[in-house]
Order: sequence, then C-alpha cells, then structure tokens
Amino acid sequence: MKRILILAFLLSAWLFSTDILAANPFTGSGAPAAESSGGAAVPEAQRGLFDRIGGLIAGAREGGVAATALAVLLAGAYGVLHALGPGHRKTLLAGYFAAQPASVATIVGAALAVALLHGASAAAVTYGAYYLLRGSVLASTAQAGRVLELISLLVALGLGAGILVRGLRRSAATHPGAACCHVHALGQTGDDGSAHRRTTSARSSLALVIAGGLVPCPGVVSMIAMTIAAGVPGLGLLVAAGVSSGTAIVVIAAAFAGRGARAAAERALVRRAGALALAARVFSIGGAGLMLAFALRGLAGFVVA
Amino acid sequence: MKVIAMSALALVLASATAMAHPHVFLESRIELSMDDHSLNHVLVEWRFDAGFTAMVRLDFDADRDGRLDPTEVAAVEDGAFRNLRNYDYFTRVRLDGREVAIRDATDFRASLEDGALVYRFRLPVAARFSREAAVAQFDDTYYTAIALTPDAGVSGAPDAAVELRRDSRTAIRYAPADSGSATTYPDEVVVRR
Repeated sequence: MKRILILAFLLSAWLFSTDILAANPFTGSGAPAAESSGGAAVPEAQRGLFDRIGGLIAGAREGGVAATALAVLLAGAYGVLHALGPGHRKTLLAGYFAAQPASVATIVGAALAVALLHGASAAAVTYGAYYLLRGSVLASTAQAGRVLELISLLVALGLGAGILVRGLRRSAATHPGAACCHVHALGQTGDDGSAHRRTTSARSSLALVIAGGLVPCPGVVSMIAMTIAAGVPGLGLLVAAGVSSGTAIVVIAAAFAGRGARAAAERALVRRAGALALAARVFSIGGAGLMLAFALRGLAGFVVA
Repeated sequence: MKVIAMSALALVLASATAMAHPHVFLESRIELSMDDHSLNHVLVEWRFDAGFTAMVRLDFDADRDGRLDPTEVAAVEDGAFRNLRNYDYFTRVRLDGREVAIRDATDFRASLEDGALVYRFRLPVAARFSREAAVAQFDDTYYTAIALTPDAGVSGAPDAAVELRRDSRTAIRYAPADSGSATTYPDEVVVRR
C-alpha cells in the first residue's frame, strides 16, 4: 500500500507542476491563472491548415461541393493535429481505462462520444450565442466554456474519487497481506471463484463522456464563426464533424494507451501472482489518482483565477 | 516492479498535460523606436488567423460592411484587447539583459485588411541601455501562438545591428511526449549598438 501511495503522489506532483486553464487572454477580465517561464512557438502545420480551411469556407459558395468536401477533410486533419497537443482530456481517458478494464467496444465508444460531445458542445454554444442570444460570440463562448469546464471538472473529480475509493476499499478488503495468493488480473478469478475486477459501468462511462467532452472545442468555435461570417452557417456543422472525427482518432489512441499500459504490465507479470496483483492495484488506484489529480489541478486553476 | 514502474511512466508520458494549447494564431511585426541612449517605444502589428478574425467580425463589425469604423475599433479595444495588459501584451523587453516593466499600450488601432484582422499599437518603454535591446513576444498560457516576422524595424539608430534569434533559455513543452519536437522556443528581436 505504501508503494502505491508513493506512486500516486509522484503522479499527482508531476501533474500539478504545470498549469491548466485555457482562459482567453483577449476577452477575459484578469491575469494569467499561473505564471510560468514558457514561451510559445507556432505549430506551423496547424496554422497553415486553419487558414487554408478559412479560405475554403470564405469561397464555399463559389467552390461548390469540392471545396466543401476539402474543407471538411482538412478540418479532420486539423482535429488530429490539434488533439495531439495538450488538452482534450487525454489524461482523463488514459487514467480511466488504466484504472478500469474495459472492452474494445466500450473504449472506442466512450472516446468517440467524448470527441463528438467536445465538438457538439462548441457548435451549441456558438450557434446559441449568435442566433439565440444575439450576443458576443467571443464573450459568450468564453463564459460558457468556463462554466462547462467547471462542471466537467467536478464530474471528473467525482468519477476519479469514486473509482479511487472503491479501489482502496477493495484493496484493503481482499488483500490484507503483503502479497495476493491468487491471480485475478486479465479477467481471471481468484481461488475462491470470485471475480475481483472492477469493470466500467454504463453510468461511469456516461460520467466519463461528460467529464471529457462537455468543454466546447475552441477550434470548432473558430471554424463555425468563420462559416457564419462567410454566410454559410450550415457548413459549420460539417467542419465541426470533421474536427471531431480527427480529434476522435487521437482521443481513442489515448484511451488505448491507458488500457495498453495496464495490459502490458499484467502480461509481463502473469506468472508472478504477487507482482501481478500489485500491478492490478497500482493501475486501479494510480489510474484513478491520475483522474483525480487532473480534476484537482483544473479546479485549483479556477481558484487561482 | 521495474516493469510496473516503466508502464506507469509510459502511461504518464503518453497522456498529455492539460495546458492550454493554441487557439489563436498571429503574426507579429515589431519596430523599435530608439535614440542614442534609449529605447523609446515598441510599435507592434499583429495579423490574426481566419478564426479569430471571424469572431471579431461577428462581434464588432456591427454594420457588417467588412470594415471597422472608429466606434467599432473602440469596441474591439474594450472587448478584445484591453485585458491583454494583464498579459503584458505577450511582450518581454530586456535591455542589457535586464527585463523592464511593460506599460499600458497606446494608440490602439484595429482594421480588416485582405480578410485578416490587424491590430496596431504602441508600447512605451523610455528606458536607457548601452549595448543590447531584446524584444520577444509569446503567450505564457499558450492560448495564442505568436510568430515574429523576420522584417523587424528599427528607427532612430541607423548603425544598429538587428537580428532575429531563438531564445533558447525560454522553453515551452506543449506535446504529449517530451520529445525534442515537443519543446519549442520563442524568437526575439535583438538590436545591438
């Protein structure tokens, strides 16, 4: 247990060492949430795609179906590049699927839903701000983003805490000794025939999707704004779908990274019952700790801001 | 145990930190106004990407004529510029290696040129230096990605040498795995007497 707690502490310390919030400096009403010594560099490919898509959207009326299809395709490429950078809840998904074994279908479904909700949330906020509220797109999306981010972090906090508590309880209840006497990772059962593994439930998967996807994607917001400004607002839905599809590829990969790390450790230790049991506990508790640290770090950013 | 530790490490490295990543891209051209002993001010021109341009158009080009008149420019300054004072306008000025405080910007203008939003403003400095003035622009929060153009200008010091150099002491790590390509550095304009 001591080793598990040390590992969880180290993971948390590492996560807390960097800042989190993506507040819009142009429209906000305050200073940066945290000082850092970092500078910025331009991911040229991202900007190049962004402006190319902007050009296609501006000329969509004249360009016809071909221009529209190319814009959607490039939006997908932008989604991949954009999601490869920090954010998009990859930490949360990796932690979740490291903590709780799940089927391939569950992982793909949950990660896909996260990516789609991320884009749909942006579409709802942008169209809502412009057509329903008739207000500032910049201010409305920033404000809505903050509220939705807070909600998503609270959900992530509850989800991570729940999984962590269950993992700790299970660990204390079923493994009082230094080493476990039976193997039950990789879906096997113990000598007493009981299945000790905690697998994902529909409710916790839904919470994961909300925690992961509720925050509107600013890239999608920008692209929808481009389509409205160009007089082709309907095209915004298509480019949003394109960005979300690209994002989904990366997010799914992150989810599988979490699952894969756990599976690799379990496979490597399959012949060593004690180590295997420890590995399962480390990933259950460490994965939940990762989620918890992610949520706490985000909430700490709100407190500082 | 080693395998577990390595797997945990791989998991951590594979999952990105949740820092802000760029949502606004801009190209920045700066001009340093100097005299024999001092850097008087920095003139800044920012040219924004299509997305931020579109959002500002939707919010502030009230008459939808594709231009920003003085009333609309004042609204842009109030709604999409003034808060940048809290971020030092993404600008760092070092004179002889010593960082100087950034004061409030003046002479703000905004326009739509060739489909792009352009900001122009002046950052007063009025501080003396003897050897080197260096101006960098970057967003610590990484919400905005800024590219300095290589054609920085200098006025009032005809013999000064100007170069654009990479500031290798200021690093930002922005990608999931801390590979070489994931760590980048801002450029700065350096003027030497």
